Amino acid sequence: MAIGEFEYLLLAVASSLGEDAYGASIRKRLTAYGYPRSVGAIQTGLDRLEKKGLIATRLGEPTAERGGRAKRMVRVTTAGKKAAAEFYNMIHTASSGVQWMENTR
Amino acid sequence: MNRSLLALARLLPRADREVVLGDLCECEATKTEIFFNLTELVLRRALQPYADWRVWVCLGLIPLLTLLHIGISVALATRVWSWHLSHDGTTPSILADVFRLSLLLFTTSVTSGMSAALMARRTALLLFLAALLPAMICLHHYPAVGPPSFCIFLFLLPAAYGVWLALRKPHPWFLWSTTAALLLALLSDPRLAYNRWTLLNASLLVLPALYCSFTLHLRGHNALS
Repeated sequence: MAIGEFEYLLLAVASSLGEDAYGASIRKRLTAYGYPRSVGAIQTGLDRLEKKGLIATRLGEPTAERGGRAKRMVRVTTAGKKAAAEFYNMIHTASSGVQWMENTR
Repeated sequence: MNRSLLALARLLPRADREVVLGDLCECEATKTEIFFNLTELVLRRALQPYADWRVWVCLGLIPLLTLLHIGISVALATRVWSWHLSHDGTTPSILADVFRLSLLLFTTSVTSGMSAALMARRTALLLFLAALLPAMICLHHYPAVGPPSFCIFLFLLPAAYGVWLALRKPHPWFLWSTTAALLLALLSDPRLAYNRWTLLNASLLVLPALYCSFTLHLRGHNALS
C-alpha cells in the first residue's frame, strides 16, 4: 500500500516508541525531529493509517498528567511495517547518487 | 481549560474528545494553542466526508433528480386530480397512467434515497438541502390552478423510506425487483420511443437504481460509506 511522507513518519515514530506510542508521545518525538505537527494533524493521520489497516489503535488507561483522560495507543501492524519498509526502500533507491547525498558524506 | 474551550471540544466525537484533550493537557498547551488545535480538528472532522468523490457526484445529481421527481409527482397529482373531477368514461386509461406514475415515483424515489444514503450518508443534511432547494423554487412558481401545491413533495416520503431501507441493508432481491419495476414503468411510457428528452430523463432516473443494485450485490453488508 502506497503511503506518503507524513504517514511514513508516523509509522516510523510509532514503531520506535513501541508500547509507548500514542498521540502526545508521537507529537513530542516528531517535534524533536524538527517536524512539529498539530494534535489534529496527528489524529487525522492516525485515522487514515488505521483505515488503511497499517496501524491498530486501542484506548489506554487514563493518567493523572492527562487530567484523567485516556490515551489512544498505537500499534503498527504487519501491513504497516511492510508499507513503511517499501517507502523507505523507494526513498533510499531514489536518493542514491544524487548530489545532496554525496555532499552529506 | 475554560468553558468555551470545553464547548468547542464537545463538537468532536466523544472518543476523539477525550484523547485530544488528554494529549493537549499532556503537552501543556496554552489556551490559544488548545483553541487552534481544537478548531483545526473540528474543521478536519467536519470536512472529512467531502473528500469522498461520491459526495460531489451526489450533490451534482440530486438537484436534477429532484426536478425529475417533482415532475413525476406533479404529473401523478394532476392525473389523480383530473380523475377526481371527471367521470366521463376515460377512467381506465387514467387509472393505468396513475398506476404507471405511482410505480415510477415509488421505485425511482426509493432507489434515489437509497443511493444517496449509500454514497454519502455522512453529508445527509447538505444532500437534503440540495434536494429541498429546487423543490422550494418550484413551490414558489407553482400555479394557483390544478392539484394542491404540496404534491410537489410527494417524492419525499418514498425517498425517506429509501434512506431508511439503505441503513437496514435490504436483501438484493428487493432492489432487483424494484429496478425491474422501475424499468417497466419507464418503458411503458409511450413518449420514450420518439422523445429524446424523455429517453435522457429515463436514463438519469435509472442510474440510482442500478448503483444501489450493483453496490449491494457486490459489496453486501459493507456497502454503507
